[in-house]
Amino acid sequence: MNMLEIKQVTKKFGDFIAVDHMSLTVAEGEIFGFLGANGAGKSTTIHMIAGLLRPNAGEIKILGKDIAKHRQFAKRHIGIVPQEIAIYEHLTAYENVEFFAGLYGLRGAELRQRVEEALEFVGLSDKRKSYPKHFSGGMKRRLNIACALAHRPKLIIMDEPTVGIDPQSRNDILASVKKLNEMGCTIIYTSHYMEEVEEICTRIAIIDHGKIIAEGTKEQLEAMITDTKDIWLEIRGMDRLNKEKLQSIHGVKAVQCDDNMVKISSDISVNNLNEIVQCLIHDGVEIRSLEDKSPNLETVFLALTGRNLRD
Amino acid sequence: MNIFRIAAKEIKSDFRDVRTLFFMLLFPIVLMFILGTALSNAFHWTISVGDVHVLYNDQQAGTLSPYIQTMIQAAKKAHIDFQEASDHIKGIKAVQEGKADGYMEIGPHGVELYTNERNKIKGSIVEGMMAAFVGRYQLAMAVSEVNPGFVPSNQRMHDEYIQERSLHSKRKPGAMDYYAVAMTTMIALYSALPGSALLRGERTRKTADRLLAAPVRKSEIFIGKLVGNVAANFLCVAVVMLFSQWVFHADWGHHVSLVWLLLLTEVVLAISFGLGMSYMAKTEGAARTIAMVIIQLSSFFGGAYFPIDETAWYAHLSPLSRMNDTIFKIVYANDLSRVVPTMLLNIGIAALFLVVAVVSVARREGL
Repeated sequence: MNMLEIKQVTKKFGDFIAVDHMSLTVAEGEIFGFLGANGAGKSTTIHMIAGLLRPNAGEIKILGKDIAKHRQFAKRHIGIVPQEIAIYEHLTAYENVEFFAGLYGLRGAELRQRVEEALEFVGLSDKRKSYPKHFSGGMKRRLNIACALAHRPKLIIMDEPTVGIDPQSRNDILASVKKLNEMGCTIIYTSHYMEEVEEICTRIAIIDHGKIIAEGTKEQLEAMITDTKDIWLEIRGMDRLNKEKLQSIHGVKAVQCDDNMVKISSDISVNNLNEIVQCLIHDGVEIRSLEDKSPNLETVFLALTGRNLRD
Repeated sequence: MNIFRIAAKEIKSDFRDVRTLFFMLLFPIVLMFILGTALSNAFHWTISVGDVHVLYNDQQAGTLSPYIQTMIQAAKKAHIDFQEASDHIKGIKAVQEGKADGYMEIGPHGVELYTNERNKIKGSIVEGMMAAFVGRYQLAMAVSEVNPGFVPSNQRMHDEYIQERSLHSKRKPGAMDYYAVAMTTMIALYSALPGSALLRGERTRKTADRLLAAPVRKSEIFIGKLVGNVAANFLCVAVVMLFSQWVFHADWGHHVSLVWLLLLTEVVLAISFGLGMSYMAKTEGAARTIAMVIIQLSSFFGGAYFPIDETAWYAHLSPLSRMNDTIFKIVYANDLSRVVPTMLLNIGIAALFLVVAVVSVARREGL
């Protein structure tokens, strides 16, 4: 069953169209990445999925049910991690998670157990009695996540959950996202950090001006802009290099040599790097450096939208 | 259940907020202590009136006469001396020249009383006594129609005519008594400040989205926060009131439960005002500033810092003057006549601001 279905959804703010006839499907168990520059319509889409905004047109379904008709059902199955840290400074870490989990109908021993589990999951068990004002940015971010987990949502929406934190905390959060996914949660993840999306997302949608302009796996997106990747090699022993032999390797389209640099153009869909390296070593060519210039999400995004993600 | 949960969170958060504790508890108590101590001499209510001389002329010598004689006898015990005037002109002249504090003429159409504006206090005493006499006489006449043998007792007449309570210094507020009431009602009005950030604060803190993403209705959030805030602020007001009673020995009278009810309606009024203002003003800062200015002006004209003439036009601009006056009447005159009107006025104005807030929240997609 699809966790989320968005059909022809439009959202306007006055004359401004924030989301324009968007359609999208997220299957259960996916980590779905949303990529888009500021103002592209990511947050508006997320807010509509979470029931915070009502679409002007179209339909959004959670687990097959229209959220316009089954708002409470949809809300019970969604956990939202907002971009800004949304916690109460005058409540302890435990009380923050307990308060929000309580709004989802959890009571008594079950509530206490879920709160403990959520704090344990984000590594804040030992800080349960501390107030967030004494927390580092990373700890606040983790508490922000814990508040969305205690009611065990099936769909977790994470809106830029790693903004402004140190690399260690970022790695911890990415690890917890993967772990949540392994535990069966479907995740919608937005980030400005392309490498995060590349690392964890099973499928990615690129949004621009309120529309999805591309959608698929990382490889599928890369294939949209080119069918060729370039491998650059710095070598010693150019005289021993056998161009014909290299060109005979499956997928290799061209080999160009210049001084001690070799550029091998190959089909992007063929993984032949090992063969290329083995061929060179076998011929006695010393490889001093190697660079795989395959297009990445950054170049895909730039090619599709004409601007950088952080613009 | 969600309403209760949200309300409990509000109370917990408010009592852990140092700013709330400072403004709502420490500030009024310190101010009460400073003003109540420094201005204690300004609240000396004992005034030596001396003997009161009244002339009277009984032109009728009819049915009223026995009652007048009874009253004259009773009045002597309160140092009010009655002497017969020979005629109307001499009686009036004596009052005009200040030789007598009042002239009473019993004629065919009833009793007429003349007093001198230059001697208001003594004149008021005589007027009060006469008003009581007329009331007593009318009652006696009504009783005598049923029971012709009825004779009013002197002692009871004395009690009825002379309003001892108004002359007794202990029944007027001392400085600490005054500022206990004034500071408590003022701090209740300060509830408008947290009121102005009640829902807007959730937006500023970014917790509004998280609240709305939960399976909770907007109305539950609204009511929960309102109830919690009213409870938290009323608790602060109650603490200030009890502190003034137990530590400063301020007099809150014998109808404390009524005073508490009045204060509760004032807290509701203040929070509703702040809440309504937060939707009428464009920014949180603007709402807070407007609320603060109105609180300060209301405090100033409402007698929070020094007693004001309650009949002055500017006193009517402040909800505090009415609150204070109502409470003083309860405490010092056992007069409960203004309790219900004041409570209704508070709740009525609060309802207007709440309607503004409810309509605004209903129109918005967020809080």
